[in-house]
Amino acid sequence: MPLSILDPKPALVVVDLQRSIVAIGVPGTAEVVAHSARLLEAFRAAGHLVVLVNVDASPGGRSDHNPGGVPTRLTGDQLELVPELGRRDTDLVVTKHTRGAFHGTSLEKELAERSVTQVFVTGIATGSGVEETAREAYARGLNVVVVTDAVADRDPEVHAFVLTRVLPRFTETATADEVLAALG
Amino acid sequence: MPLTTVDPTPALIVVDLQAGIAPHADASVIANNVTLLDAFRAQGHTVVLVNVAGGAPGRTELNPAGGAGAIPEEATVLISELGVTESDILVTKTTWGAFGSTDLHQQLQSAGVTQVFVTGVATSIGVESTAREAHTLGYHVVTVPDAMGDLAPEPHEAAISLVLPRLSQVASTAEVVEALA
Repeated sequence: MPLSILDPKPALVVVDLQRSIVAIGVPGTAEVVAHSARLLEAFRAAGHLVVLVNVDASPGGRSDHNPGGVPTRLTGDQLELVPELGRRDTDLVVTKHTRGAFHGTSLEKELAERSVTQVFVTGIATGSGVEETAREAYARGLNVVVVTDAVADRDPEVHAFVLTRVLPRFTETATADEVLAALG
Repeated sequence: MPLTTVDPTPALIVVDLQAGIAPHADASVIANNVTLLDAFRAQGHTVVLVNVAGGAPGRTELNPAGGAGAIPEEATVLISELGVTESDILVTKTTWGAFGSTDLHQQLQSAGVTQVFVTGVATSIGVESTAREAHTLGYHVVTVPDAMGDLAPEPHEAAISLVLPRLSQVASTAEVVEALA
């Protein structure tokens, strides 16, 4: 869907495009990286905030998928952002320790200090880091846009369901081309 | 997978069983919540009753103008079946999850709670969001689908099958009651 409104101060949030996650090669990874790179260039050129997120851990609560409640840790090279992102000094880099980029990080404060009211989210995985970051942003009062051809998940069922049945409840969605058109 | 462990200090969090929302749950869901409340209270465990008074303002596909708006006060009243007691923790939220817009985390930390059991309405909205936030905050989470209800079958089933197993142990009311005993 074409974007309804571009707020005066939007920010781009690129989630978990780091070596260990890109290397998994979930379907659509190459497109996610390519579209994220295009969006990064456009947001930077317009003087808008760019946030590059990576992840170094996940929570240790017991679950059906993780009955032993073992937290995971990533270190070193695994955290390195892929070079296609063309990281600049003006980019904000945020390391998260859970699925969402806001919990336990300075991201909310950094956005508030810059009067950002709208975040555009790309990255991997649709049903984990992307969705959780979008949920956290919405709960904190931000307008959220998820870029549909710049997100991917290892599970195609989850990817499709999240994009079509879940995200519309708390975000807008748009393609990379639609976002670039709105940026002008 | 069934519930493996009940921590020494568990808490029951009942989400949004209030006048404007509880009607989305059928009678068996309400009855299961009452069963769980009785069991937790009998053991002297922490009970949290959540209601919601408003929502986040952001623009969405379903609501392009944004602004969920305030919920009328009469719709925020907890249903009488919950039988509120003096020892219950009462929390009013203005976001989907019970932690984001409240001091619930501090209250649970003060009580030494390490594990939360989450029930209520709606499965894919307030309940799922509360479970997600609890997992992120480091709690062990147990979700009880037969004590949850949603506005439609699809989001209810999708939340239970696709989401809850990733961040909680999923158990029936009967399993929980047995584990508590």
